Amino acid sequence: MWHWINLFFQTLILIYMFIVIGVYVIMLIFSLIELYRGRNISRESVDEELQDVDYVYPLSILVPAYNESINIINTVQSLLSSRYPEYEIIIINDGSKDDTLEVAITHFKMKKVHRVIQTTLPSKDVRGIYQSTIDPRILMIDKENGGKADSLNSGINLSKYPYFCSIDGDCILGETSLVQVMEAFVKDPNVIAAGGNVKIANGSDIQMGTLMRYGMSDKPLVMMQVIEYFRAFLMGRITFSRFNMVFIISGAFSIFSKKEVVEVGGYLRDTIGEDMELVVRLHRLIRKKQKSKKIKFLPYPVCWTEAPETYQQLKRQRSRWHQGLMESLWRNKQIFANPKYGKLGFIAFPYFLFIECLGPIIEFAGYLYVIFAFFTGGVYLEFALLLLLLFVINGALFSMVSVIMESWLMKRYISVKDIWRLFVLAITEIFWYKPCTLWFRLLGLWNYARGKSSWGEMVRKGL
Amino acid sequence: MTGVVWLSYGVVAAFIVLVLIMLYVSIDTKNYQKRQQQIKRDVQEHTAACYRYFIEGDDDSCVIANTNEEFEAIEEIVESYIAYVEDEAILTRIYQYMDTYYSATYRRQLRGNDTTKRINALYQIMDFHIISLLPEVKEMLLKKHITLKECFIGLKIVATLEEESTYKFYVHHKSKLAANQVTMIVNCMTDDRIYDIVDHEHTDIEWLVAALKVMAKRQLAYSSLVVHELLHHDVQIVRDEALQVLSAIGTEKSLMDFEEYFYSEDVESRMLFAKLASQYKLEDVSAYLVVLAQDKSFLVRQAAIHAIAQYPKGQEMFERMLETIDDAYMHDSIHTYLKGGHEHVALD
Repeated sequence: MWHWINLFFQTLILIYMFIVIGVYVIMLIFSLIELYRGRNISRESVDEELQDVDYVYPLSILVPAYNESINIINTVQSLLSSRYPEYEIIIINDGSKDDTLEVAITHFKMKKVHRVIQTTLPSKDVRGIYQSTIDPRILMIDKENGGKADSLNSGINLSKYPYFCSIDGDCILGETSLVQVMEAFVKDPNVIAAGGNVKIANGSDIQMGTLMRYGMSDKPLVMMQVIEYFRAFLMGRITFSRFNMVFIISGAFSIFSKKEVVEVGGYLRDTIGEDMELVVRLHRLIRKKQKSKKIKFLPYPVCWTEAPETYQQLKRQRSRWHQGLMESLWRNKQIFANPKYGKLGFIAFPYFLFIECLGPIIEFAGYLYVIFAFFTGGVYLEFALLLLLLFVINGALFSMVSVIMESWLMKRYISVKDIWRLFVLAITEIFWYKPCTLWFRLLGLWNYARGKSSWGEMVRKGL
Repeated sequence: MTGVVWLSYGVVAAFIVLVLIMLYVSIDTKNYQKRQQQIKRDVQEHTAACYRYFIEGDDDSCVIANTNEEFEAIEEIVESYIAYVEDEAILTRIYQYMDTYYSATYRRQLRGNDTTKRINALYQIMDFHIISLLPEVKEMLLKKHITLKECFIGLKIVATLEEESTYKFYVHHKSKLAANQVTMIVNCMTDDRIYDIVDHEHTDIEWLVAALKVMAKRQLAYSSLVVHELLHHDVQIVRDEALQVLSAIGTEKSLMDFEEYFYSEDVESRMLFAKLASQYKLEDVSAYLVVLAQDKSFLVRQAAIHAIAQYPKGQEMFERMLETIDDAYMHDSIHTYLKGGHEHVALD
């Protein structure tokens, strides 16, 4: 009896691992093809006409900020140095406990103005609206604390243009990032949402909101996140974008058509993963109305962000992300294996459910099993070794490939020394980083099960 | 156990392969960065000579690239001139120089199998007006399997260097191109060609609409008679674009003739009406503009307020509207417009 139970679990875990590795291999192939096509384009991939407001759409840039006094100036300055023909910047101070409001008012010489806000989308009370006297394109909403989704809804209510871009308060954009994302909307009027690539800037030299020199942090925890971001953005999202199955476009840097977002009711305020939730509801709108609309991920436009530098911060961030993922999947469970949603229901949703969301539980069970096998010895050793090898492939090898891909793409900026540091670190992933994030993700699932919910606070060091 | 052993071999082999690829990437990165440094040095070295040759016309200072790095450095210098220089004589000298000495290089790149190199070559052919490569570009456009980017830049090259044959090539690829891209292609043509397309009421709607868009953008006024006729075109988008042109160049027709746009449910149409209204006397249009300034759409309100602001008595009218009309959105739009337009306007 015991033998059959063992055999059942062993087979289950092995099949799962083989499926995971198989899926990653497929994604790797597609992203390699995509990146190979776009490599070496000598320009920043922007046609000069896209600097002409006759061809691109004016844009409202929303910057939700909660305790972002350290980064907010850099973020807004990076937006001001963007090469984009017409835009407005709306900072949304979400009842920050620090001096975000004062810092922005002082730096941009803002004064309180009377503005009428349409209550198209629900949001908490607005305490005041400010406008910069130096650059009238900069506006700020000061509102009661209500979370990121609430802030974005408030920003959409005030925004005047038909497209809006959401940027995190700790992010820095490349000079042409906005126009590069907008190019997707110009080329294809069916695109209703698009997101860019997010990279970690800890260790880089940033002055006046501009990345002067790309550098790598010396902290292994940050470096490991750099690798993880390569993997997440370069492998997964490129492939899903190719088949219009993107489930997540990062809230850190994405552009949406306001009309469709308002149609689906804006950002949901009672969820943690508001960015994923919005994208999933947009997909549902597309399917419901049988529209040929698209949601895209673009690997070349870059947004730089600050990564957590301590385990405590990382734990908070990752458990929150995972809780958000679980929440969103559960909320939209009717998509799963539903023929009405086509490949979304049969490929994307199961991928996110079984590999991304429930993966930690299965991985955790695998780790426990390996430990158990070591102690009981003999009969389980073969399986334990096999599982270890599969973990090595899933963890270290894919990360090493990601480092190679990124080095190849970023050779203009990254030093050979840093490439090797990342490469060596990738080998160690399964021994310390993977178990750590596995634990954080399990905590996220646990928090979800307990119904615990908060936006969370991250201690900023500043870019 | 055999399966595990084989998998172990596989993992070790994959690891070795990755290390080897990594070595290659490192060397490649190092070389790439060295090359970039060399290009920087070459740019510094040749900038003065290029200035003398291109700008001052000193033939003795002509620099011809001997290495790939020098070639890229010269491309960089020339690109910077093209971005800022407006003198036709200097530009012609630059174009001739690039065509004479480097067309062979671009031809090689254009014939290669590497798509990104071909796209880069196309960009340079377009910027440097390398007319001797036009037949190659046309040949490429006749192929079925080219990327959208190649097709788009290729059509822009033809529109710039031999505009009369652009349509022929455009037809091959029109299904791939977005409306904005067609406009960008048509925008590469001269005013005469734009008039030609509009005057003959081109049967291809996308092509005609693009020409009308360019006409509005450049404010081309000579074909106003035809544009008026296009207001009765069978296709809605052509009628809208014709009105857009008239709102840019003006019309002698009565504003009453365009009232359907004022009453339209479509935001774009009401915006167009507001734009067009600014071409008439304020007394004749103020009633319309006051209504549009209270429109439910911000964009229409903004267009109406912008139209009012064009009149000398605009400020006076704003003050009257603020005093007499109790519409918070209109007040807000007026304030926003005024503050957005002038830094010194008093803020509340």
